[in-house]
Amino acid sequence: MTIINVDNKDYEIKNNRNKKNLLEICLSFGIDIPYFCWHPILGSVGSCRQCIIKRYNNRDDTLGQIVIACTTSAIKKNEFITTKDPEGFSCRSKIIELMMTNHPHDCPVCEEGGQCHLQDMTVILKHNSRRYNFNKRTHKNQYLGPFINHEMNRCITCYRCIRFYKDYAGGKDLGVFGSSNNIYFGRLRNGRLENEFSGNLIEICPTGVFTDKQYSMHYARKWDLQYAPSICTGCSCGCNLNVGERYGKIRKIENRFNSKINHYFICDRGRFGYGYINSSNRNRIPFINNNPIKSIDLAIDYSIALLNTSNRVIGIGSPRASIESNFALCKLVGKQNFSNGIEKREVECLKINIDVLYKGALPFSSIIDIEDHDLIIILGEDITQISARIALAVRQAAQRGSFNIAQKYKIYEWDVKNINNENKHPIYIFTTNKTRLDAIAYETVICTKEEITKFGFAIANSIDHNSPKKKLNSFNNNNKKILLKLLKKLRCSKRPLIISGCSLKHSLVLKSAYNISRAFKFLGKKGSIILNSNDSNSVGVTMLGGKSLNWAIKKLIKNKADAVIILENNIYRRMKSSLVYNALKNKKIILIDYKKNTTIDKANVVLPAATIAEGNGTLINYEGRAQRFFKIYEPSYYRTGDLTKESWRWLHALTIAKKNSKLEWIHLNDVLKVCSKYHPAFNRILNLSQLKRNLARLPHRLSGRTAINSNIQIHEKKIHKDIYSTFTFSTKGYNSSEIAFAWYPGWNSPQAWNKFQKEIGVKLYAGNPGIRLINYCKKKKYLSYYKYVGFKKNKRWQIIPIYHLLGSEENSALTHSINKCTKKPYIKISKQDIKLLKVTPGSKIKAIVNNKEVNIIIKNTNNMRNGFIGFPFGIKGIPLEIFCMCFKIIIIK
Amino acid sequence: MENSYLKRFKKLTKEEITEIIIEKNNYKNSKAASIGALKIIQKYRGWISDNIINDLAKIIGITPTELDSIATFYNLIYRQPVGTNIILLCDSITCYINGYEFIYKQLKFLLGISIGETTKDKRYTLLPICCLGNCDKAPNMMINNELYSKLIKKNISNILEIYKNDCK
Ligand code: SF4
Ligand code: SF4
Ligand code: FES
Ligand code: FES
Repeated sequence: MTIINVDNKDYEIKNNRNKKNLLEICLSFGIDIPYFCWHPILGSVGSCRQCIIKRYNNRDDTLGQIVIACTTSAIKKNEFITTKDPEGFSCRSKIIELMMTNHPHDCPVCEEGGQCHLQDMTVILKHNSRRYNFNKRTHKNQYLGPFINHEMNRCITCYRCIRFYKDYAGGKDLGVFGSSNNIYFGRLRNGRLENEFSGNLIEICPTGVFTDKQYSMHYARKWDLQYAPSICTGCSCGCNLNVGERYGKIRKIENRFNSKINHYFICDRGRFGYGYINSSNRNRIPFINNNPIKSIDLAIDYSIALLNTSNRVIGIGSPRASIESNFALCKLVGKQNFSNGIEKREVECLKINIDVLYKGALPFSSIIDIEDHDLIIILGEDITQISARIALAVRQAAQRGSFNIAQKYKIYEWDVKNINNENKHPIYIFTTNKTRLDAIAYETVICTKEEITKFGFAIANSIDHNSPKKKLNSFNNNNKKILLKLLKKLRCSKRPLIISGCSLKHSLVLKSAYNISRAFKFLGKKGSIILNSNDSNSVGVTMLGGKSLNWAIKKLIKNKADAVIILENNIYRRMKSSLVYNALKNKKIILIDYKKNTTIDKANVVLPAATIAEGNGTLINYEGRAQRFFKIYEPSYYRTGDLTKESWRWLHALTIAKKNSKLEWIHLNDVLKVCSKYHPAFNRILNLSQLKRNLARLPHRLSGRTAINSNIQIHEKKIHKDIYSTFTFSTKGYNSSEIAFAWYPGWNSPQAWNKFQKEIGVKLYAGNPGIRLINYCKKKKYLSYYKYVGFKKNKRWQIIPIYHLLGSEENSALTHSINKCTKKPYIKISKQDIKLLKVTPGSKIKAIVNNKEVNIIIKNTNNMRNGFIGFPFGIKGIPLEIFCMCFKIIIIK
Repeated sequence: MENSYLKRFKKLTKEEITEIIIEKNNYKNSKAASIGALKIIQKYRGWISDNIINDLAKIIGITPTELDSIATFYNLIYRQPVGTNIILLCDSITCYINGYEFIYKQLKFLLGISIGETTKDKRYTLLPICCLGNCDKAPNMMINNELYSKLIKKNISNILEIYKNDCK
C-alpha cells in the first residue's frame, strides 16, 4: 500500500498501481492535471511539459521540486505532491502560452471547437490573452483522403498522432518531418492515409489538426448532437460506439470506451461506415406491391391476409439483425420454418464456433486480452481486413515482446510503450493471400485452405499424438522447417493464442484450429482461442438455432412453402442469384428491411425496419458477448409520417394480429424474457441496462435552448418521450454506466473518458456494459478432437476471397467516401497462370465465372498459388456465391 | 548484390551503392544505416533530392516516409540544393553575445544573402548552427570542415577569399 498525499489530502493506492505514473494516479483520484502528450494507451514521452507538478521529499519539505508527472512514478511509501502550487501553475501556464504562440486561434471555424482538448487545457490554465506579437509559422496542409482533414497550423507537437499511427497501429505512411520549431506531421505526398485505423487520429490528436472530413460535410458542434451508446455492425468484434445525430441524420461516430473490446480505438469501417443509415435509399414507410402505404394497420392487415392464405411460411433471419428481431421471426413462423439466413458452409463453421464456445478446451479471448498472449497462430483469417480490431490487438501482443526486456531492467510500462524494437512475440500466419500483418509475423505461409488445414492438424498432432494424424513428413522441407521452429517456440510460450474464422467458409480450418487449442490444453498451457465470424450477430443467430439459407431456398424452389418473410437480409448476396430468383418466383414475400435491395421489386409487402440508429436491440459478438445498442433518435420526430420501426416490433405486430391477441412486447426485455424460456443462455442479457435512473442523450447545449429545431420553428417542439429505454431525448439525466457521450464539466474532448474511469485507461466505474453469455468453465469434459477429412483434388480454378476493410462489408460500402476507396473489380493470379491464360497484367478483361459475366482488371502477384484466383470479396460486380469454390473461367477478350 | 541494386536503382551510382552496402553491413539492424547512407549520398551530390529518398529507402529497407523523417530532422543533411561551400555560423549564446550580429551583418553584406540562402553563383550557402563547442574563442563559424574562431568583422572577406575558387 502506498500513500500519496496530494494537496494535503491522503490517498491510498494499491501496490500494483504504483507502477503507474503520477499523472495517471492523480487523474484516477479525480484531480485535474493538464496534459497533452501522455495517453493511457500510448504512454508517456514527456514532450509537452504540461503536467508539471511539485513533489516534496517529506512532510516537512517546503521547497519541493518541479517534476513532470507523466514521467515520474510513486517510488516512496509516502509521496507528497501538490498540483496547486503557484510555481507549478505558472510554469504550466507559461508553457501553454508558448505552445499557443504559433497556434492560429481559429476556434470559431475549427471543427475541433467544443470538443477540443487544447481548449479545455487553456481554460484550466487560464491562458486567455495573447502576448506574442510576432508572425506565426505556417504550414501547408495536405490532402489525406476522403476521411480526414488536415490543418497543420493547429499542431502543438505532442507527437501523439505519430505514436499512435506508426508505433501502435503499424502505419507506414504518416511521418514527422523537420525539427525544433518547424515540425510537420503528415505524409510524404498528398494521398489517403492507408492504415485501417487512420480515423483514430481524429480523437487522438488533442487539437484540430486531424478532423473528421465526413462529419465536416454535415457539421454540428458536439453540444448540438444527440447521442446514444451503440454497437458497430461492421464485423463480429462488437466495438462500442457513440453515435451522434442531428435533425434525423447521423453526423459522426466516436469511439466508446469498453475495456474488454475496443478501449480507445475503432477501425475506419466502424467510424466512417454509417452512410447507409443516412442514405436516401432507405425504406421509411411500408410498401404494398410497390405502392407506398401511409398506415401501419393497412400494411399489417395486408400481410396477415397473405400469411393466412399460405400453406407454409418460411422465415429467413439475418446475422446482422438483433437477437430480438431474429427471435421474433422465429416465434412468428415457428422453429421448424426458421432459417438463420446464412449460407450452409458458413453455418457449419458457426456451429463449430458455438460448440467451442460452450465446450472448448481453451477459453475464447476477448480483444483486449489478445494483447497478453506471447505466441499467436493465425489460420486462414485475414484479420486486418475482416475484423480489424482483432488485428490491432495482435499487433500489441507482438509488440509486447519488448516489454519483457524492459521489465527485466525495471523500466515501467508507460515508459517503454514508444519503443518499437525488433524484439517481437512470435506470430505465425497461414493464409491464402498476403496480409498486412505479414510485416510483423515471424513466418507467413501462403497456401490453400486445404493446406492450412493440414498445417493445423499437423501442429496439433505434433503436440499431442492422440490427435488425428497428419504427419509432418507430408510437408516439403521448407514448410517442415517452419513447423519445427513454430513447435519449438510453442513449447517456450506461456500463453499461446490461436485465431481462425469463417472467412474461407471451410469448417475444417476451424476444426484444425480447435485441435491445436485442445493440444495446448494437453500441454497444460493457459492459452486461448478465437474463432471469428463474419457478421455482427452471426454467433447470436446461430445460438438461436434455425436452418441454413440453402435449406430455405431448397424448400421454396421445391414449392414446399409458398410464402417467405425476409428479415434485414440481402439473400442475393449470400447465394447464387439465379437460385434465389427461382426460389422467390411466384411466392408471397414480406420483406422487413431498412434499405432497398434486390428483393424489393418482388416483395408483396415491404416493412421499413430500423437500423441501429433508430432502434434498440442486442447483438452478440464472436466471443458470445451480448451488448445493447440504443435508439439514437426517433425518426418520426423529424420526419412526419416516417414509420420506421424495429423489425421485432413489426414481427410482433404480425404475430398478435394473426392470433388476435394483445400487445405483449414493449421493451426489449419483454422479447428476451420469452426468448430465454427457449434458450436459457440468453437469460443473462436480462441483467443488462436495468437502470432506474434516466440517462441523457444530449450534452449540455451551448448554442441556446431552442436552437436545435430553429431551422424549422423557433418554438421548441415537445420532446419525444422514450418509454422503451432508460435514455431521455434531452439533456436531462445522468451520464454513467451506459455512456452516451464522453463529456464532463471542463472536459469536452474525448479525453473526458478519464472521468468515467476508476482506473485510468483500464476500468470504468460502472463496468463494461456488455455481458458474456457463455462462460468458460474449467471442470468439464472438453470437446474431443475433430477428425481429419481428406480432399478431392481441386479442379481449376479455386476462387479465393480477398477481403477489404473498406468495401467487403455490404452496409458500410454504401457510404460515399468508403465507396471512393473501394477497389475496382480485379483478380489476382500467379505469374505462371498469367502466361497460361494469355492475359497481360494491368489489362481489363471480361470473363465468365459460374455463368456470370464479370469485368475485371488483372493483377499479377508472387503471392498466389498456381491454380488459384483471388477475387475481392463483396465488391460490386462480383458474384458472392463463387467464393471458395472451383469454377471454370472463360475469358472473353 | 551491387549489380542487382545497380539494376534496380538506376538513380544511384556504383560508388554510392558500394559504400552504402558497406555501411549497412556495419549494423545488425539495417535501419541504423539511415544517417550514414544519407551522408554518403550527400558526399557525392551535395544534397538529398526527393527521387533519391525513394531508392535509398528501399535499399535500407524502411519506408520513404521514415527516411525523410530522419533526413529532415538533421540540420546538416540538406534536402535542398546548397552551394559549394557551406558557412555554418554559430548563433548560440556565447557567440551571440560576443559579436555574432556583426559577423552576420558582414557576411550578409559580402555575400548578399541572409541565413538559409545560397549565393546566385552557387558558391556559398549560409546556415545557422548551434554551439560549435568552441565558446572560449567566440564568435565562431565553420566553413566546410574548417573552424574559424575569434572572428572579427574585417577578417571575414579574407576568409571568404580562400574559398572563392573552391569548387568540389
Ligand atoms: S484546435 Fe482547439 S484551440 Fe485550436 S483552433 Fe481548434 S478548437 Fe481552437
Ligand atoms: S498533429 Fe495533433 S497529435 Fe500530432 S503532434 Fe500535432 S497536436 Fe499532437
Ligand atoms: S503529459 Fe506529461 S509531458 Fe506531456
Ligand atoms: S556558442 Fe558558439 S561555439 Fe559555443
